[in-house]
Amino acid sequence: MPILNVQIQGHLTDKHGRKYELPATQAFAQRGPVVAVTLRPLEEQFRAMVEHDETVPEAVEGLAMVDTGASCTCIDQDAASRAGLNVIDRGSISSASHSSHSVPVFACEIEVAGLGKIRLPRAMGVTLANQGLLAVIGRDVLASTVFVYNGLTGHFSISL
Amino acid sequence: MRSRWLLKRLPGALRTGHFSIAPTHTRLGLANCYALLYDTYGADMAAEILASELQFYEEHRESLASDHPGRFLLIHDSALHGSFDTLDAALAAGFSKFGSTPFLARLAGEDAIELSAPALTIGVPLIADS
Repeated sequence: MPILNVQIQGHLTDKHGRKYELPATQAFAQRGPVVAVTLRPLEEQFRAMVEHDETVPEAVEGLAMVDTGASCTCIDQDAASRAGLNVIDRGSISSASHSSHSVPVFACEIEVAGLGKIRLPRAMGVTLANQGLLAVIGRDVLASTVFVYNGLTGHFSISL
Repeated sequence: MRSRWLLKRLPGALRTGHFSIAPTHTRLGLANCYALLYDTYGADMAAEILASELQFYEEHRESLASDHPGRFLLIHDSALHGSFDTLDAALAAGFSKFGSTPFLARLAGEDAIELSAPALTIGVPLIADS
């Protein structure tokens, strides 16, 4: 069982441009549990693209945040488009300011650097790019992982 | 086949000259209709994707649930193209038959999946930069 241990690093820059390293606990509290991921279509879609003489888009790289509050994993819609993902259903999401609205559901795969591939037959498409994220890893993925958030030392670990 | 599929779903306004293809679309071709619609018209237009499949599903929801209990349906273009034991099997069949053209794969009788994500829905920023 692969285990990924991550300690988040961060720094402050003063008005003279000098950089100061933040304590790990502070950097972690500020940045949250993020991992580097690569987003691409499922293997079946890859094969179908080749069979149908379609151009296979490049995989999209970015950051994913582990969010125990999210019921299912979400990916950025714009990134989904760039990765050539297929829509296989529609889901709904509600917000404090808007009634429930429809969002696309994609079939895809994300590869977590240092951990491995995670198959996502149903990932919700939402807008995440403005928050610097490619994906939010929700409880559907966490259901098959061990996730430890150690705020006292400023690191987290996740295993598949 | 995909060109016809796309044109059938585009509103009339788009069929009458308001349709442009940017360089990114020529790279993808018409392979991925979602990518084309999303890049050109944004999420609102992309909402048209799967409209006819979902309409078919809702209209036949009860009969589909009783005829295919516990099975995953593959629906494309207002027609059922099979039922499968697992979602993975339905997806594999869908990709094999339709390539990157959108199709609906859903458990018979199931409601639309609903996302509960307080950080997203109440607007708490998920800032990934330090």
